Amino acid sequence: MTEFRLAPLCATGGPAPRSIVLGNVTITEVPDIAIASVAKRAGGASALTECARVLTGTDVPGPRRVAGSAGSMQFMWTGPEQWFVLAPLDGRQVLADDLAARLRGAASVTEQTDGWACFAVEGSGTAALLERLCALDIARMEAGMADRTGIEHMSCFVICDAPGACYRVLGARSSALSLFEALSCVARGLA
Amino acid sequence: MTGLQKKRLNGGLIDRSQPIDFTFDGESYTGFAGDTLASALVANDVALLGRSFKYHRPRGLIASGSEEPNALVTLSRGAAVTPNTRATMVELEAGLTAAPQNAWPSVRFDAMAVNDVLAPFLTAGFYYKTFMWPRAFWEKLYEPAIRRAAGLGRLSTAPDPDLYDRGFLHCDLLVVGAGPAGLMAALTAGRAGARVILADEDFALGGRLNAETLVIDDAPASVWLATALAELASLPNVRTLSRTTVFGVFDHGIYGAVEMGAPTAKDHAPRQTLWRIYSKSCTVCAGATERPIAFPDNDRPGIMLAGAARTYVNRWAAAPAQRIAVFTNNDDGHRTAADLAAKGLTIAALIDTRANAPDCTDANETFKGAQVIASEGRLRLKNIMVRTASGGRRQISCGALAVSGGWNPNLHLSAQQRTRPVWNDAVAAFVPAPDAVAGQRLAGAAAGDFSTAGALSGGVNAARAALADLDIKVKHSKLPKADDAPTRITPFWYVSGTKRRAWLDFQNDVTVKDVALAQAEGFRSVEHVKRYTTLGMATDQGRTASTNAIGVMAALTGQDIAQTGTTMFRPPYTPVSMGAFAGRSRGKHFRPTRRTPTHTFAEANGATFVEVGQWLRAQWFTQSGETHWRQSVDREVRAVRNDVGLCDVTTLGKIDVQGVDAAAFLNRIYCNGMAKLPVGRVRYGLMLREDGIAMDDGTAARLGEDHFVVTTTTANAGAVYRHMEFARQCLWPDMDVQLISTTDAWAQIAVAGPKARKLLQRIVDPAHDLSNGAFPFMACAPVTVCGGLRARLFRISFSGELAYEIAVPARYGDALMHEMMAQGQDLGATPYGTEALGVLRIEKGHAAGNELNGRTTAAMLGLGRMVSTAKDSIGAVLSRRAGLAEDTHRLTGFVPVDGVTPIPGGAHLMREGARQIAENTLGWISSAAFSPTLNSPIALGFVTLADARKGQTLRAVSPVDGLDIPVRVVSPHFVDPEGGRQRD
Repeated sequence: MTEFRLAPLCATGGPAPRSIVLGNVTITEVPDIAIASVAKRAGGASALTECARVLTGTDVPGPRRVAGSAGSMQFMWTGPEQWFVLAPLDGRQVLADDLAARLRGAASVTEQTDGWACFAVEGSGTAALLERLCALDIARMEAGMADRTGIEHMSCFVICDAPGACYRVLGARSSALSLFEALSCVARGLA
Repeated sequence: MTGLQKKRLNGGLIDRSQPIDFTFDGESYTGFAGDTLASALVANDVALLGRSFKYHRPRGLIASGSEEPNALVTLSRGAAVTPNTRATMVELEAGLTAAPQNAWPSVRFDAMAVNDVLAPFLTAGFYYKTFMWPRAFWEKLYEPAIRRAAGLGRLSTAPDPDLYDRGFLHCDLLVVGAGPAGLMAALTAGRAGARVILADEDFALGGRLNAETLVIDDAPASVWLATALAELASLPNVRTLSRTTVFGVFDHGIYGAVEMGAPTAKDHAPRQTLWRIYSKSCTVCAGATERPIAFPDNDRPGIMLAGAARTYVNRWAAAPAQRIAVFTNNDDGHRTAADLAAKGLTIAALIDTRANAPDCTDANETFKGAQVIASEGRLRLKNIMVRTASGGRRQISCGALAVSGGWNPNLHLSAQQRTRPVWNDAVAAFVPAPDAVAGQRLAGAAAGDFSTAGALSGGVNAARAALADLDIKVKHSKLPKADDAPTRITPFWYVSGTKRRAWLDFQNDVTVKDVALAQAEGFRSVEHVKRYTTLGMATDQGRTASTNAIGVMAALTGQDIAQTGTTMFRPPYTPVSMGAFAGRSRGKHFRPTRRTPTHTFAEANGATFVEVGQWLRAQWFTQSGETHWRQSVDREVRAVRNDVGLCDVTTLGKIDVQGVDAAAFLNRIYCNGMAKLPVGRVRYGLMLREDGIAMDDGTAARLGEDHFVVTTTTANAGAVYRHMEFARQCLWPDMDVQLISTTDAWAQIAVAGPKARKLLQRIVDPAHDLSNGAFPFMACAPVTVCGGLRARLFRISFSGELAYEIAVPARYGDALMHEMMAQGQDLGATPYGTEALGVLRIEKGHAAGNELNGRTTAAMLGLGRMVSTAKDSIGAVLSRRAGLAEDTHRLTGFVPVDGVTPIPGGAHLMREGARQIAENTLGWISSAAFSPTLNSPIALGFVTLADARKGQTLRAVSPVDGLDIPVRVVSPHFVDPEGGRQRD
């Protein structure tokens, strides 16, 4: 991926992503995810809808929803008239530039790739873990739902990819290690 | 005594195949799985469990549940020591070690029992009356002495080794209590498909069904209970939480609950979990608590509640004594006699205060219209004295006395939102006020409905009503058949006509006499009596005491009980460990830590870190041979002034501002003009609060016509973003502007010093011309570095030197730092920390957090001309208001007159010869440092009429440190006042 002289580090501080198996939960850092924020500008609704349809095959999602499938391009609702676009990082170094070019002023696009750390939380113990970490109604989250919440004083997004089995937790990159520890401490208690 | 359970009977809900060894008061005992510590002690014939709070009287079990006031023990498991644990709530586990409290040297012989002899002097209000003088003695002498003599358990003061979790649950219906009412409520809602949480404080679900010999559907209640629990377990929409106390109700249907870990839980599992339960509706089926009758010396070990005696015998097959008497004012006492007799125990006598009491065939003798007026036995009950209806006296020998004064509904959860319960004569108890808590209903004994049939139907009805509110349809199902006996009770609160003390509050040692004394001294309100006597104030919050005390007060004043009323109920229902509230937020997990992108580099290069908010920043980098931080900082400052320094400045807030109106928006946010800033240029900006005080400073870089990146100070990153979002959403919603934080997304490194350009030319790809002409001071541009990596370059300077800030995606920050250090080796490239950063900006006279302290204006900062009068901006108008505009304090520089004495930060500035009083202060020192460039201490500060005082000598006075240092007023720009270096 890197044709330049600099080697990237993962958000948790090392060259390799962190991963840990604790009982029925596996927590894995996901570094290869590109993120761009998209905020609608005045009069940009139709262009934005068109863009989402082309990229994800569906409309921009409403509150607490993700459109598109994990592993390809996804739109995640983050606030009124705001979304995150998530994509595999491979070859998407310039996701924000691509989107800005497509949207041509219909929305403000900001690169967020390295603003966030992403952890995949998988296994049969994930619901028990997440209900001890955040106030979301985890049991009622369906695949394709996402919500903003607080985890041990950290502002996070929780995305449900498969209910009771597979979730992604996004938190600020600078506190990635604290988030990883918060997840793994509670998971260790349940193991 | 191991293995010998002298008082163990047949039957009971215990598993005899699983014996459990435990220790109490240094002695080893054995119980069975299914026992509580209390029931195991009863089975082992241990009646004396502790000493009382004030008088150190011998005390034993009174109750069998969470209401127990006496049997408080200290539990030890390894390093974990938990005081004030109710023996009745401790599930027996192997190796459990418990010790009695408040006794010295032992619970059998307690030296402090002398207090009991002194009792006439230790009445209500004793402390207030006795320890008034001399005043200073209270804190130093009296209170510590009293605390030693009176008290409950002691904390170990060692860190709690247990783990605690906190979590969040959601449901349609929360059912509190898993007795017959709660089970029916949960079944009704569960069958209808509602999301149900059923919580009970006991480890065995069933409530009184486990303690009684009831019949449901013509079979023992245990059969129905097992069927009900199996059905609940089969419903995926029902979550059952045993060992879970719902301790409080909060706003909007939120309930607090604590779940205790099972004794079989693994060592690394949390000992307790604090749940916040979001419920749409709640049914409280928390049962009832029996109340005692106050009679002389009613606190001897062996005197217990009649329902508790029944519970020990029925549920745990543990007999409080072989020969037992019963003292009652209601029919429930007769049930105790029947159940105990059925287990082969001798009922020596049944004493009923009611003249019209039914006969009791299970007792050797029945005394109607009689009272127990005395008891005997030093460490355990031996005899009671009965005053018969005719006034005669009879001594009766017995090892235990079962007392029933009626039952109080456990209505706390209905009364925690300031609605007080109401008195109901029919059941002689306080019952919940209707609609006391939104979305909450009560059923069963908690609602004052004491029959089993009433509990079963009440649970169904409460659940049906809750589901109707939620538009959930309920299928009809048959109600189980059960006993529907009416409650027959004649209230009787205390035995009068005797001089000996009769206890109301066992835990706080409050007697009928104390309440009478409080009344006599003018304390009439129930709340005042509570405070004066301390009745109901200990860890049990008067569960077995309060209603009796209200009954006594009413009798003494001639008021009725309804008029007397209850005290206020507040959470928690039972004590909750502080550890449960803390959860995982302890030690290094107390709050999250934010690391900079170059944290790994800093760690490897000798950095000492400093906490800046949640950030860990490198404060300085120690090199070999450096033994004092000043050596490191001075070296780093010189490197920036002479060569080139590198500092991670990622922590400065970055806000991406885009939109058609971005420039117009920033023009209103900043007090200086931003609208005409050309693309590719950066401008220093100052933003004011609405009241005209300076809020934050930073830079705005214009990356495009409709795209800015704004920086904030590290400390104010969140506050400024919030301020700007407020302005966007609330003040000017019509502006087409979008904001988002990008602080974490970009690693930003300051490259400062005369050789900065030379270094960057080796980093930034050759396509980008960094010459002064092509990329002048305050230029910005997207560039690529190290062979194509996207980056942003800003030519801004905090140090006053030729300086840049370069930003790359955060994951490359550490590598960029390494690369710049490698490429800059021959240039003297040096990493520097926040301390050198501070020295550099003080030398340059730049304001920072110490100067932007929420009390300074643009004018005071020397930036008054930045507040544009050509436009409106937040705070501009009020910055010109009277009183603020006339303030002559200005930021300026100071040096010690002797050239060597450090100037203390925070010192007051005064004239020579002026007295050290507040009126004489002319200003204050805001920032101070040693300047390696000037080889002298320097400082920045605010002083009145600063320009006129230039060259004058003032004094920097710090009365706290006893310092008084002559200082000279100088320019705030110690280095390169013309600013030539940063423009070269």
